[in-house]
Amino acid sequence: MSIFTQGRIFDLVTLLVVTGLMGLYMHRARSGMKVKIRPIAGFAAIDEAIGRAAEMGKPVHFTPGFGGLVAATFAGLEVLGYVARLTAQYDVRLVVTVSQAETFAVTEQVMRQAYLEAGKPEAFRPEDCRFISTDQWAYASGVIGVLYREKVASNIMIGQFAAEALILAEAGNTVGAIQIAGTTNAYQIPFFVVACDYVILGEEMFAAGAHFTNNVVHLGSLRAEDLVKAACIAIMAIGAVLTTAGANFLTTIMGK
Amino acid sequence: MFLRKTVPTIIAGVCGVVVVVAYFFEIAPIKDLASHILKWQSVIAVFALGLGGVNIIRLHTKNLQRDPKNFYSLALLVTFVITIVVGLAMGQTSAAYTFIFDYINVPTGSAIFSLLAFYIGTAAYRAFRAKNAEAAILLITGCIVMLGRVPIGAKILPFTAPATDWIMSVLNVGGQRGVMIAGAIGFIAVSLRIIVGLERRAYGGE
Repeated sequence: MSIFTQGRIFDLVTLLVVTGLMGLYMHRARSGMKVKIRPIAGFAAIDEAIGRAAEMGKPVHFTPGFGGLVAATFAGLEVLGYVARLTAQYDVRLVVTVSQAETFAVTEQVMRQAYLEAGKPEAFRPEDCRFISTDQWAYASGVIGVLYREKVASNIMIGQFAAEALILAEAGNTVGAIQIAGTTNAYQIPFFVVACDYVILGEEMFAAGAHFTNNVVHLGSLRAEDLVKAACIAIMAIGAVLTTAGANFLTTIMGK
Repeated sequence: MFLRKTVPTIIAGVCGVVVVVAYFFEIAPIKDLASHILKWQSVIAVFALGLGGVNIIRLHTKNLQRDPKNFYSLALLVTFVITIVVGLAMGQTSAAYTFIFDYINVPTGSAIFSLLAFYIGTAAYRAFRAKNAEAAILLITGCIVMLGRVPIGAKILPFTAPATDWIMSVLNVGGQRGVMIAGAIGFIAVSLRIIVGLERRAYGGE
């Protein structure tokens, strides 16, 4: 009997190759390799959104979405760290709404740390990090209520979103907030595109750490991600040509 | 510092490696351990839910202290207490608890969900204003798909049915798969950074 789980051998090899590439490029970035990243309009607009809130004397709202502690939520929390530091510096109130209990604990810690780094730990108000509900529609109605009652100037929604995405974005639009949204859920991106001012598309979210902090680990990881994407495109093109020509060995290997 | 930063990093790393190994290899002890880790995840989530409950009570009690006429906070606290008392005293299968769930929780959830229909209308109205070339393309594509999806549309303009199939199965699926593949690669990168302890900032570390 094989020690490997059948049907997952190719996945394992791919994961090892991807891990190796990421390790290599993180190491290279730490050793001084220059990695240039293109500006992402959605991230650049965060400063503008917080500046607007400061001018209007109104709060900023942030939510990392409906997901638990998944990669998209972590990307959202990375952005939250930056947003919280900036709001602390400019004395702008930041209201954060969370739908999952485990995310709530982490979110509160991220906010505390950000206020500490901004040199204003006393400005952090625990009641502004709000757990709403694990129920999707209760969460949506809770966020709508916060947007209306707090009269937010800016609404930032970056993380994992599902069917509630349009409801939140339209509520933000109704209160006249500048809106920046991002998700990896391909089905919800179109809703954000039509309802928000700036949209961070899919994997752009994972560039948050590299964009805001120029963290070399994130920059190296981004370079490796780009190489893996190029490899995926090449495999798709080769696979399409081979399958059209009747050669199935690539699909056989990938099914192992 | 050790308890707040290093221990979570070690726990995340060990749990991550065990679950990944259990997914790819047929090693019974590792699979058992991974199964226990996944159960512990649920247990920890329940503790976190308690933390969330405390946050809700604290926030809305403060709201009431500030403004005793705050009906929303009062309604939330009253329903919160009633649901917990009924659930604990009479059980989750009791008629009273089922009533709360079936006749209050489900209809209010459905009411919020139904807002989506109206919001799709208002969002579509804004999106379909042909202000520039991209918006015009979106408007034309949207009209073709809307007509192609209903029988009367295909009757008025027969080309819309095959055009809709092509738009949905080629343009739409192609775009969505691009987002999904790139997103999955990003997922792997974030997960790897968490497992090896290089993503501490995301959970409050420096």
